[in-house]
Amino acid sequence: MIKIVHAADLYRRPVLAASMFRDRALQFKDRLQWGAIETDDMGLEFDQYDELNPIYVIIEDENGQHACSARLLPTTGRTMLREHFSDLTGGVDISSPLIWEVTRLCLAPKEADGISPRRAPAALFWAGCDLALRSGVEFFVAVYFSHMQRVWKMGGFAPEVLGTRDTPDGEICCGLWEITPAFRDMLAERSGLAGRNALQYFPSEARFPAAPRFPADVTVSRLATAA
Amino acid sequence: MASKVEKLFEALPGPGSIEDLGLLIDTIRDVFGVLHVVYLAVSLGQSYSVASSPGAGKLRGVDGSWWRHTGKLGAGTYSTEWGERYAEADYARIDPVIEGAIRSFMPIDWKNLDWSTAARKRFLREAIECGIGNQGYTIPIRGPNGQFAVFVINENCNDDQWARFIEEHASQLLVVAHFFHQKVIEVERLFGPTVQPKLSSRETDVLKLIAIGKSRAQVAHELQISENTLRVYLDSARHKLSALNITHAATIAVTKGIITL
Repeated sequence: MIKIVHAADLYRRPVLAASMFRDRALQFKDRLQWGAIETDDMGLEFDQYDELNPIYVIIEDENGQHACSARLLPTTGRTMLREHFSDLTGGVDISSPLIWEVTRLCLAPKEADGISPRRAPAALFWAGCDLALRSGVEFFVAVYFSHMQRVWKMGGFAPEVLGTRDTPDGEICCGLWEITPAFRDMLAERSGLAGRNALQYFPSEARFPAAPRFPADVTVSRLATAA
Repeated sequence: MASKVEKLFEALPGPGSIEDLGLLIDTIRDVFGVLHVVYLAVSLGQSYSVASSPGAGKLRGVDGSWWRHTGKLGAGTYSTEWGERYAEADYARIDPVIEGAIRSFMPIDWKNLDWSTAARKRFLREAIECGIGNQGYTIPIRGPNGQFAVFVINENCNDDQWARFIEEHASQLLVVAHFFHQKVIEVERLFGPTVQPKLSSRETDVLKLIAIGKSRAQVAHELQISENTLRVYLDSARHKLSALNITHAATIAVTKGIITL
């Protein structure tokens, strides 16, 4: 299952949350050895942007543990792009309710929930697109190391590169994806998730299957009469 | 077909006072053709003061009303009765829409909220008695210093009609919601005199080229960037200038002396 989880709801899935912050430490600190990554006394990687109420897109494995994830924040607030990488966008401080930043893309080396490691990036972006389209968002931006460009290309959804720069950890890029229903559907195909009920908004779809409604007797359709 | 934002831009009343914001919210309602549009500033952050008077009570626009109660500011087409009732009972405490908006930045369809507690059922009943529609969509807005507001679209229709309406208008509603919040800050001079927006030279360049009448394709070609990159730069400039669309942004930039033609 791919879950869309708001930071404020992580406490309801403590195993999923802890395993995500643990896997992030494993990927970014142990495996990739990024200089700026810090972990806490429990070995979890949790940074200042996790405190800003982000939304997480998480692929959950059969045991309810984290496999892959990405973090989303609106560019109207604080972003890594603005605070650390604005030179990658020609000095433009990207800020609009229509643009979200994707950070902390964390990938598992093994299959989870029937999603192979090769297809996981497309699966995460597919779920992110669903969320963005529901919210009226038109673009994702992300800063990533250049080797990821190969991953995007393999997945068939390489972004436009706004700029690149060398860092002690390697070359980094800023990429831009336009989000459209066609893009989402393409990602569904690429990730092998088309037609599969693989996405869950948590907790609204988990906890309130029959949503309470306003009484039917107040329903007077203005849209219907207008049309 | 002109987008709703374009239509709103043409009908923009040019807000200069809080009464005008009541008028603006009426215009937004009419342009989108919905039952109600409401803005509520739940928290205006630290150390704000409002420019308008009176300090409490309500002020009326043409149809739209504007109210203020214990540090909360609101404008909307809901009946004044409901606005006052909401403020008096401090319903922001139990309103599931506010709770949902506090938890996340994602816009909320009211159907996905928990209306099951006794207090919320009572709240809902009162809302309906005051003429609130059965469908709602709430956009949370956050700003510096703990500013937190919500922008609400409310309508009476069935689920399918509502889903189609939201799908078609979600982006435009995001733009309008943030625009309205910026207008409130500006009109009420909440954080002192409005500061000049800071645009990068890239943003002023693209805005200027668009303002002198070049097409997006021409500008993108001239600056050797893609049209999507151009859209992102233009939209950042639009947002920083508190504008509804690019034409509006260019006008504001010229008026404020940020670009010269």
